[in-house]
Amino acid sequence: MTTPKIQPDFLIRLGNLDRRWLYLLLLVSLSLTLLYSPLFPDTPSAFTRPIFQRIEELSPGQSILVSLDYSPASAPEIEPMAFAVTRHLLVRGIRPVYVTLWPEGNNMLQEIRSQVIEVDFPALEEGRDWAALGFKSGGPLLINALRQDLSAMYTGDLRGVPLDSLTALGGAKKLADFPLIIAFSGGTPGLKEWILYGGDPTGTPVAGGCTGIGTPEFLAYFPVQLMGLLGGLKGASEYESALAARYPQRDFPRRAGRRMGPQTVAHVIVLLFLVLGNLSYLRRRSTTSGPSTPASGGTR
Amino acid sequence: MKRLVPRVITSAVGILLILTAFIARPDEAGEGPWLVRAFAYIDRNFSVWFSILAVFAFILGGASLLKSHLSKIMQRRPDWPYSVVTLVSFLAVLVIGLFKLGGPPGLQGEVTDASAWFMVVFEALYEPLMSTLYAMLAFFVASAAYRAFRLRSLEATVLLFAAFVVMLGRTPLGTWLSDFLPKSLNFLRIDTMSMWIMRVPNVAGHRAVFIGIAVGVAALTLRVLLGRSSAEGDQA
Repeated sequence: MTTPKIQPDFLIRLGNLDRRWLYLLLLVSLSLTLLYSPLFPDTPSAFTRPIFQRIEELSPGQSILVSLDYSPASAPEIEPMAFAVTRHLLVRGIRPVYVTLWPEGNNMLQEIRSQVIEVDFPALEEGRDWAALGFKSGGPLLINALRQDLSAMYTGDLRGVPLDSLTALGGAKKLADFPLIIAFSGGTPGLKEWILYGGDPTGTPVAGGCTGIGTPEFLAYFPVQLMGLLGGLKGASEYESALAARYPQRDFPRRAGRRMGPQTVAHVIVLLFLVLGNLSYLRRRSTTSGPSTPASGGTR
Repeated sequence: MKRLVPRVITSAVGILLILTAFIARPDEAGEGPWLVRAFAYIDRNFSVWFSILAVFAFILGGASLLKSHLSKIMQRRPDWPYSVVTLVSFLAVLVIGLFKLGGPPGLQGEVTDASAWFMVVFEALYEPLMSTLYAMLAFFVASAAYRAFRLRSLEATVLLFAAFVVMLGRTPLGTWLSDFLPKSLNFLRIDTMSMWIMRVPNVAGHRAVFIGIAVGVAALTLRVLLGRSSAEGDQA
């Protein structure tokens, strides 16, 4: 006599789904969305608006400090916001002075030079309309030194031109001489150090951009110590939409806006599987009398 | 003596730097009474010295990497071929960067110049490798969300709900899905709820953690400065 084979119901079997199916679904969906690149409308949030507004209020010719503290790992999220803010500064005639606390920052600066400044603002001149001071080691204590004297750490820009000859600095000798510090941060040292060692002691307003996963941490400083925050790709997309609405004639690329499609699809798939995984878990729990096993999703 | 001297130096420098925070304000650098000027001088120069010392950390890091991987190769420990790849890559990039191959020569030659080989290595190898590693997180997060994020307790349920709302609220879909709601029900919009979760409970939690950490760090620093604990963490 053979025992009838009991088929576990669909929801329980779903809990044992091989993770490779999930990877495949994600890969196909993301690839298709990346190929199609839809552009979603976006509006600046309460975190984004203050940065845009502050830059709009600055007078043409003023210099602001921009720190590029990220590497290629976080560049897909942070680079679009660095590009958008650079475009905003340059279109308004404000002179960005780039520094970085990360060794890879000089390379990220090179990307801004080749993909933004040389393409959208070919008439601008390095040293006069913008400056690249580049990387110095020290992290928070570099900021501490700059707080008192820029020339304590930088004798010149990346090309070796002395600080005194860089008109883009607008005569700034120390951090407090800049009306705004913007730090794009992929980790430590980064935005947090600029807030604690740069903005707080000098009273200079600090704004910043960070990865999506870093956003909740930095919101603790908003809005007093941190006047505005571009959180992840969404923050960059919001900034791009604000820029497009204010300067429609320039038709700047919407790199973050185009990436919001894949991000939306990825979020929806994760949420979908979150729901399915929990339905499977609840079904499994209801069919067993004891507490559920942690391996509700199998181990494959 | 071997332990005492570093501790005395650590305590002296630490106390001096703490005092500079209270005495030398940035606006007073270069002016004011001699004490203020002296502390401003200390503050500025200690920061510069630290930045110079930090450069040596790169050399130390490189030496440490060479030592550990060479020993792994010599002893043929498990996965030693990966160490060969690490060392070859390290030395190749070091030579390309130090000698500024392909780029502007001389001390002032910029290593990130478009023509430099260093930039080619960065753009053709480092950048895609790092981006790929980071992008793979999406797959791991999706898998983890599916298999580990379970409604096991009330706390887990609240966390799951918050994650659901924030994730949806950070996409244009979240806005679109709740567009039908009238203005009087604005608080039920997904993007509004997402913003509230991030601005209120999240900020409250983070600030509590930050303040707790800060108090802990202050207490530990005090112990180190008073010689009750060493900077390495052992108890006196």
